[in-house]
Amino acid sequence: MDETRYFHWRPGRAAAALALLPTAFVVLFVFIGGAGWAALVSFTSSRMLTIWNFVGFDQYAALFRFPRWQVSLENMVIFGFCFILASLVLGILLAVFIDQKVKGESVFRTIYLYSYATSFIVVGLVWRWILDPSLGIQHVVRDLGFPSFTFDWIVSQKMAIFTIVIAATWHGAGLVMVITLAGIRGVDAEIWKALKVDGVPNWKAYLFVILPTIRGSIVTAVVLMTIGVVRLYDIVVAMTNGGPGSATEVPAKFVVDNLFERQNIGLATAASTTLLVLILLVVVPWALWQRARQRRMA
Amino acid sequence: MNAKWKVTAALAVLFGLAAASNAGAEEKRAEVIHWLTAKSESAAIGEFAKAFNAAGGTWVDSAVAGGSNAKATAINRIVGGTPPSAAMFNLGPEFVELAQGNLLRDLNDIAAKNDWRGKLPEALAEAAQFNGHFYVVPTALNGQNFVWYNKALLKQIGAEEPKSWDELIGVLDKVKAAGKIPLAMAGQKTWEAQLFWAVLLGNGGRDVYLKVMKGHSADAVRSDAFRKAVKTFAHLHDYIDEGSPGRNWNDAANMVITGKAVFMQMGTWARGEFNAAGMKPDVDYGCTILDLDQGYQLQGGVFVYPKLSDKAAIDAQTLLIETMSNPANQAKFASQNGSIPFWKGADRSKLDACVAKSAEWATRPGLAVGAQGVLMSPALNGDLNDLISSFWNTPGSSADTFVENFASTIANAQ
Amino acid sequence: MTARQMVPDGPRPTAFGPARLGIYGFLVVSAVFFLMPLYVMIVTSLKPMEEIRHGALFAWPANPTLAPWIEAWSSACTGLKCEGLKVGFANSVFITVPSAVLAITIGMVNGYALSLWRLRWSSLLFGALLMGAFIPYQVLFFPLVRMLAAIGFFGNLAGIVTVQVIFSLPVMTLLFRNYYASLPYDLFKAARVDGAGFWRTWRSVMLPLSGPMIVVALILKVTNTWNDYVLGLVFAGHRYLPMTVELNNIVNTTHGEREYNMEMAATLLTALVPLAIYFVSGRWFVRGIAAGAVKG
Repeated sequence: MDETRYFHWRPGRAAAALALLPTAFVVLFVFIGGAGWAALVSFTSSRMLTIWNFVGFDQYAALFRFPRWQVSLENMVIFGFCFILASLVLGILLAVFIDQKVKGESVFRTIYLYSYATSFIVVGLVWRWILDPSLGIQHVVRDLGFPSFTFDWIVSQKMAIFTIVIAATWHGAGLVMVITLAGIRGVDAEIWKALKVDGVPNWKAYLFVILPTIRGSIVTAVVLMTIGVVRLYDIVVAMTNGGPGSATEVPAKFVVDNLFERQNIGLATAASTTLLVLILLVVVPWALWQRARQRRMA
Repeated sequence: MNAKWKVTAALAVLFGLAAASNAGAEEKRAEVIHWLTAKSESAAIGEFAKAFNAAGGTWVDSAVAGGSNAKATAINRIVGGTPPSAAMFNLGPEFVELAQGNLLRDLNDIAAKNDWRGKLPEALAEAAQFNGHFYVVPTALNGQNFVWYNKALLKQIGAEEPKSWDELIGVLDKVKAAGKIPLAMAGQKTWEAQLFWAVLLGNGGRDVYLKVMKGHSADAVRSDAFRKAVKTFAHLHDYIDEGSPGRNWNDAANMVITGKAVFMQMGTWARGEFNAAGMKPDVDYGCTILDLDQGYQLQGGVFVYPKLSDKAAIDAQTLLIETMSNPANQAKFASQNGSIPFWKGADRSKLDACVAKSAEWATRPGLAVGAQGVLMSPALNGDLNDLISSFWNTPGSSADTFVENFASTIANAQ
Repeated sequence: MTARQMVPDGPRPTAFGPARLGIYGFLVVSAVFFLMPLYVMIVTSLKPMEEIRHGALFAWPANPTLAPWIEAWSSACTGLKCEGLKVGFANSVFITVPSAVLAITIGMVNGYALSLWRLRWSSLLFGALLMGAFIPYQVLFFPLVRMLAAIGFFGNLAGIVTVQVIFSLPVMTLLFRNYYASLPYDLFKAARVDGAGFWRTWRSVMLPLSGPMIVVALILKVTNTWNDYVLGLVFAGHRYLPMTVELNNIVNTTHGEREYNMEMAATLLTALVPLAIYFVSGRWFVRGIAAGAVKG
């Protein structure tokens, strides 16, 4: 974004600032205030209720002694990478293919998107059944006459996290498709005209012109998915409940389990604060670098 | 434009109606948060509601499925200053912090008036108190260390009904040889841990079980009795099928019902699935506790009654407590729910065979013992669940490492 | 349909051949992947429990029955009451409509102010707002409950709507900020030359351009609010519990027996409202709507 894009005459700016005021209020009191509160509690020995008995870094020391917390962090990275990549590729491909003036566009679009409308409490169970080797796909294919066919990821400690990727992609790819499609349909007609006049083949047009033009939409989708990755909870609870063993545990589940079921608020807030700090460590340098790059280009 | 206004007007009317219907104030209203949502559970809680309404109250039902959801709601409501009249928790130390925080009503007056000490089994009366004060009414109690099996299938295979965990292993071998799944396992942390504690009590013995749970003794964890139980527990993994991880207990029960598998370990609530499938207790399906002489694991729900400030609300709450702790109402609740009618003098003549057995054992002097949730804090319980589940799901992993991790977790617990 | 005629400038039409076949092939294979769980849910919802117990997951029901659907809607037990899902339907509407309208409007204005107006603290504000989205929101319950209770916004409709709007601010703002930033600058140059103020520029230029993103935001927000369970449970209070709480009471149990057929039916019924939004919103996914609005 270059500087000349911005509006900055005075009365308008005052109105703009005023319009942002409620949001600033929410950010200050709910998000920053809440995160600060959580950080404060993480230094106490609180269990079911908050008690202001400060114990220094004890909760953090305890946190990193839990093998489950470390597995959770690893799983978040593995899941995040695979899920974002898979949803992005599938979602964009679907959007581009749907954009080819196909018959029954709205039917296809609804099929790819309906999964997003379903609540995961039960759909997770359905996925578990489908992936259950003694019930689902493996069972059916073996009955069809392939007795050596094996698809038992969900019961394997090594592979179970990838079944979460499959279900999450099924749930989220449709949304990427919609966001991308909205972007593609918003592309200036002049650009299409120019591409046609030049006789650029379709695949080249999408790859080198259209997708870069809708960069904003794709970034939006990636950020949305990243938020989903950090907050990942429902799908895991419904499909594997963290198992087998701790193979599919994720950070948000660690936080929520300790916050409620295990009545260990101190540990839960230590975990959520750690998570937030880790994200800041990744995001802030990246944001600063982006800013510096924009300055240089301007 | 016109359409837009119509929509706006319609919305305004809707909201107006909603607000109006909210306005009517009622006498003796009492809101109860609980997680009894399945068909039989819902009929059971309905008995209390009926009795309360008949006594002149108005029962406001806040059912929230899933114990942790219901508890989270209750805690948030209490902390947020809009407490319900009653909320369900698990039997055990969960309520203690609320009592310490002076957020719960002290029930000693009502308990003395109605002689709770005389009517409750001793172990339960103890679990219902903190510092000599009653804070909870024990309600939906279950036996946890039951084993269930398909009787016809067992006969067909030609195996005896086992009485101990050691005997069970022999029977499981026969079942395996006959080509059936010996043990239907619900591979979720809670149930894996539940199986472990059942084995520890039966196979390791009551003594080590109590030393570990109540005494947090690391030495008890390193004892031979504990190691023997660990070995038996790990051995059981040889008898499950590959689809077990993540399975609901209901699906495991269905495997026994449909004759795919022969045995399963589950609390007394499992009878709900067997009965729903039209099977008869002690005829089509068997229910027992292995190594019964070591103990009957008791677990279940209790109701707490948060402190209220409004006079009318307190009166309604008093009526509610008296209704819910009335032995006759408790017996009606238990018979609908299939849980134990444990108040002295409750009528046990109409119970089905499994519940009757369960009730008899639960109240036999010196047999009942608290389950893990009753004897340990939720935090310690959860950490041990993680540990047990990892061990169970990694066949061939070292029992010594497991014992050491277990010992240090127990020793570090407050 | 007129939509077709409005699409003169899409990608070049390909003649029917291998490429066309490939396109349909990919779309159909993907559709199969997406539909597989739906198929399982539908057949399970039509089977009596006896058939489900035998575990033939993909088999067509031998004795199909609609009873689970009727039960799920009107007579399933959700606690003491056995009135099915329909109880919470109105509440879900009461919560979703104002939440969606407010969240989308505020998100739109935020996105516009952040992407087109030069304000000193704007990027810091946006950064902090986005970070808010990364906090597992359950952690914020305790302070939020106290804050809202202090101003009388706890356990009522205002409370749940406020919370719904607060937690969707980051995403809604992000959607519109990135969308406005990617629109061609020429589109609002005229307004700038005119010297139109903040609100007039928004109304006359930005709002008409926002169609496609409003649809996306609507899909996101309606789905999230409609399917939300935890926020409704904690903040809505007894009177305004949303339908998902009934759904959860039908499908979730620790110790009770389960009726899978009814659970599937209940889940599909709950999904119908967002699905209807998707289907209706389809007509907005038309090429050139942005450009057309400006030129016209």
